[in-house]
Amino acid sequence: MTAWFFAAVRMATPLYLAGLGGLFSERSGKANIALEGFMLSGAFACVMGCVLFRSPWIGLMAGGLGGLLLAALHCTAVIRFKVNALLSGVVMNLLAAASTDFLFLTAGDLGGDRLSVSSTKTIHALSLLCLILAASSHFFFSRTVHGLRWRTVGQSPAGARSLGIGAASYQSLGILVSGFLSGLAGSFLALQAGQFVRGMSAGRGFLALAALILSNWRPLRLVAVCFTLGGLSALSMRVEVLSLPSQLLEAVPYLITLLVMAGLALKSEPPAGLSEEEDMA
Amino acid sequence: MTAKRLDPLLPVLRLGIAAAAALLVGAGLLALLGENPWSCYIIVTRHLLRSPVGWASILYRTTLLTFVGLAVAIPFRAGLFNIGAEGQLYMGALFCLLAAFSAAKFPRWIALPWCLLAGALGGSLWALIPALLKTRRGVHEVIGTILTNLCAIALINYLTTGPMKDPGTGTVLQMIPQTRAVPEVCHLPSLTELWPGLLGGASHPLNVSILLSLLLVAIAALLMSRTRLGLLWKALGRNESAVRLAGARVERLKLGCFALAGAMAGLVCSSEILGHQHRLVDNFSGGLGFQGIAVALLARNHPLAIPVSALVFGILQKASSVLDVRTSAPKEIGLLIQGVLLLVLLCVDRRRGGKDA
Repeated sequence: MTAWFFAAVRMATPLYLAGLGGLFSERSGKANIALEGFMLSGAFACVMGCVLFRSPWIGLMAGGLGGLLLAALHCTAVIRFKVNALLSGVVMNLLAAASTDFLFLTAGDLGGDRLSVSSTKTIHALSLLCLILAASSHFFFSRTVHGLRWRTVGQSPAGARSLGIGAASYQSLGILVSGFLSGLAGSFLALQAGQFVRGMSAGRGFLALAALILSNWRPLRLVAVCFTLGGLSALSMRVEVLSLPSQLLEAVPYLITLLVMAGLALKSEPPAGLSEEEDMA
Repeated sequence: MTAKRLDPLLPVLRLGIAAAAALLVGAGLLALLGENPWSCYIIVTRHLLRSPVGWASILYRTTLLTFVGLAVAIPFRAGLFNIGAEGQLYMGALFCLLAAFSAAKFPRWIALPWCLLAGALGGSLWALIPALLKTRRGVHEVIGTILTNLCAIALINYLTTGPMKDPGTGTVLQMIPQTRAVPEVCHLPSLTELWPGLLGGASHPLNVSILLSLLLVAIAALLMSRTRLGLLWKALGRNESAVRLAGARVERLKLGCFALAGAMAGLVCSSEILGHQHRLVDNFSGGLGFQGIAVALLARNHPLAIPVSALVFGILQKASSVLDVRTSAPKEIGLLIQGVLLLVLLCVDRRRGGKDA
């Protein structure tokens, strides 16, 4: 039971970090399908940081910065050049996969050896960080002026502007936060695996997106959703009584999300600004 | 639109900027690896000019990219963003495969259309899931297609490694999970059958599906420029409420558009399964559906420009595998260049990523 619990937490942590990143971006009205790419670049940067500085903590920071770097590019395209956020997101995922593959293949000794840093503490710290982040972002969005403005921007960018709220700065910040947090999520994967593997985010960014939708874009509910999803996959690895093949089990969270959005379960209430992409002046 | 009419060179200029940026980044990367970028580019050009068999594989790739390019471009004109081509082409392949297994006793002239129809239907039905979610529940089609993509990939992975796995063993190919081969009657003729002297009899993947892809391009172009439906779709992309006020059934238009796009993606099976591999190989697409987005963007969503754009990406991919073999650069450099090209293209094209091109 305890083993299952810890496995579930290990699965849920990267989901939560990336999902919360997506929440900050989508609550400001910018759809974010680039979480997957941010995670991947974070994982790579983390391994580089670990190899260069021999410290999992520096690796972690490097991972965050790696995600942030790609997010800055995304932000430039989306906010400065007004590229559609979804299109730019697709390109970001493509760029992340291509650039990490490229660097991995050319940087030689980076991935071959397992990282020789002991990262247990860092991993636990990250899981703990999720709880702190959950509580503080809940407080931020429900009790602070900036949090409320943030949500206003997400509901209606044009409306927010008419109130004198700088929509673009909230949106930029949201994208950057999503990059940093997804980068941390990627670092978690890298530290846990002890190495970089090509395409190691393996759809977890999209899973985080699904979790975000299931949570109805709320930080506390996101904890519950991520833990449930993590618990499910931990269960599927440990128990084979379900007799469902692993590939189909992987698809279960996506199916649930589809069902929820089809209105067959729960009720989905996305930030209204997400659907009015065109309104951005 | 007015700017375009006033200055027809502007799009060309933008394209030039994007291409130059992509080539410069490519050169920078090659220089980082200690190669001489100039001589690398010359090696690639020489190789491409001298290798007819290489062109066969470029054209094969172009065929695949044309199908998925159309599957992205047509909904784009209608203001819909189909990033589900990946899932649609897998489901098309699955339907096509099942049809082919059932067609062993059919005469050829029934078997082939039967398989093609099944492929188109598979892609179409799969595309209708996110489309229905959009029209009925207001779920953004991007989220719907991402989720259905992941489900389709998981399903194909399960089927090719589990219930439908080829039990036969032996060849090296068996290392990759795949299904049994389809019956002989369902093989699309290779281009060598139509044109015996082609490439001096060298083996190549080119088959009749390349003609099918060009036919689809022509149909799509006519549909978009000469029919009521095409006009409505384009109007939908520009101003949805105007179309609604004019009395058109917007929901039906959207569903129809997605169904058509799914069918186009589903027809990838004609090249891959009926024409070349003759079986369903796990992960055969490897992101083809997403490259369709690149193809559509470069073509500015114009059907007639799709094959040209597909050819550009086909050449780029071939060029990167030449670089992979001849220099120290890995072939992933091609994907990176492709990404830069897209990003710059999107940024210089101020009109929201060419959505209303």
